[in-house]
Amino acid sequence: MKKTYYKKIIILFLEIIATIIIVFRISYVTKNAHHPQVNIVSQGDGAVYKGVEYIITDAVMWEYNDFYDEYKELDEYYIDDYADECMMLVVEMELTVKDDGSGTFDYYMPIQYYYQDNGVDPFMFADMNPALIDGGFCSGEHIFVPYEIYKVNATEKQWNEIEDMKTTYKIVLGNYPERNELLITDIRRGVAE
Amino acid sequence: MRQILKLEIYKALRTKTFFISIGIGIIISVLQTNWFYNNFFVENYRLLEEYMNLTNDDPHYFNVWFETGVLQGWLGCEYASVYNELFFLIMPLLAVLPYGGALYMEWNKGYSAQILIRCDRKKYFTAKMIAVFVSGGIAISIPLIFNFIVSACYLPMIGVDPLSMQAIVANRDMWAVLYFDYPALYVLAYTILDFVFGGLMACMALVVTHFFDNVFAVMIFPLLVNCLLYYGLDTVDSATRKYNMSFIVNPSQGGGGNEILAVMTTVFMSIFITILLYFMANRKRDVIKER
Repeated sequence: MKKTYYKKIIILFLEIIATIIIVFRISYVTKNAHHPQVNIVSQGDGAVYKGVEYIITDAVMWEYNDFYDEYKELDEYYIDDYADECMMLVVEMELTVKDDGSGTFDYYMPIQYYYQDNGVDPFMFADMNPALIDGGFCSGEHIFVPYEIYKVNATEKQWNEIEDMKTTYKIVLGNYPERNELLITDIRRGVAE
Repeated sequence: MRQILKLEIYKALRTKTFFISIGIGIIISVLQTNWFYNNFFVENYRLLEEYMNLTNDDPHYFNVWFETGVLQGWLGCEYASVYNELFFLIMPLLAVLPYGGALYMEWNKGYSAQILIRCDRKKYFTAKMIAVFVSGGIAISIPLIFNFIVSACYLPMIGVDPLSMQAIVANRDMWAVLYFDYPALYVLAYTILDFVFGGLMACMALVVTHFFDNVFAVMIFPLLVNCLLYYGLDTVDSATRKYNMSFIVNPSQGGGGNEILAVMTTVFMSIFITILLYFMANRKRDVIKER
């Protein structure tokens, strides 16, 4: 009887020790996770990434049909079924080459909202910024970055917020060891002329 | 009632098959952890070491390296290896193994007859069902929890970065907030859900106990139902996927994402139907076999 009692005490003691070791290990691993240095940049302020400074100067949210009415040259990208399922966010950015002028422009500028991220359509981007393709782009000029915001990626509540322009977006440049998050907080509604 | 319930749960959690079932689950869990560690974790940290040696003026300095979070390595959400699919495919078998065949065995051996003359029929069947439910749920939960603890010992308890494109759960899926921001709570929520479904799957065997002449057929029945739902019903009509139990149980939500209302509806309907069929099948069943 005494032997069983002591056995139970020893087992309980070992269980407690094991629990403490595991808890400490989990805390240690979580505390030492590799997090990037995050630079949060407000709209209108600049972030330097690969030797180029990016400043968001304007952001316009378009209804899908209105966008293609405004940008008639992009008609080939229009899809009938997307009319009520997609909004277009066009971000205007000023690009300035810093330092010794050897900066690299990276068109991989994903936008993040809620837990969703979108990349840029490279072909639409090229058509909206021909100067970048034909070599006529100069430091200090502006580019236009189109993002398609899909209804299917958002919950009903989120989609209502997107349509009412209550959503905060961020453009992420780089991820590790430095991550630049350019916030888009001031969005105006686009109206086709 | 308390006495018979205590007895049934005591028996359910001490059968050899209970430990065998948990053992199989833990073996799958260990194999999955080993696979993930060698194929993802080690490679990811090799890349990190490369990037750590770069300087600011190197074009590769700014890159897209992401820390691997605990949910990426957890058996429930790790979809790259076969182990997630294997575990949830044989989930009904693991759930029914501990105590699912007990009613069949006891009924045919005459043990039930001995209990029924000492105890109310309703109490006996209720206690049996609760014991099977609990043992089935525990058999599924323990490997998931074990795997989570082991994963957390080498993967940080951080959510998945949406930009990493390694997230298996989408923005509009069920419990996306927990997945991306509170991984431990996501694991807890899904473990509870899998406990319930594991218990229900084990109880399916109870429902068909008296319709088969073979304990093997009784035990394999929930697995057959699961396969029918996963491969059969889904192929015929994929619109039913959000109500399909075989998809709901998987925390990776690979079936196009779960919806909380559909999941709750499936849970309550399944519980209701299982209890109804079970008591209808045993309401007036005589322990003495007809000659």
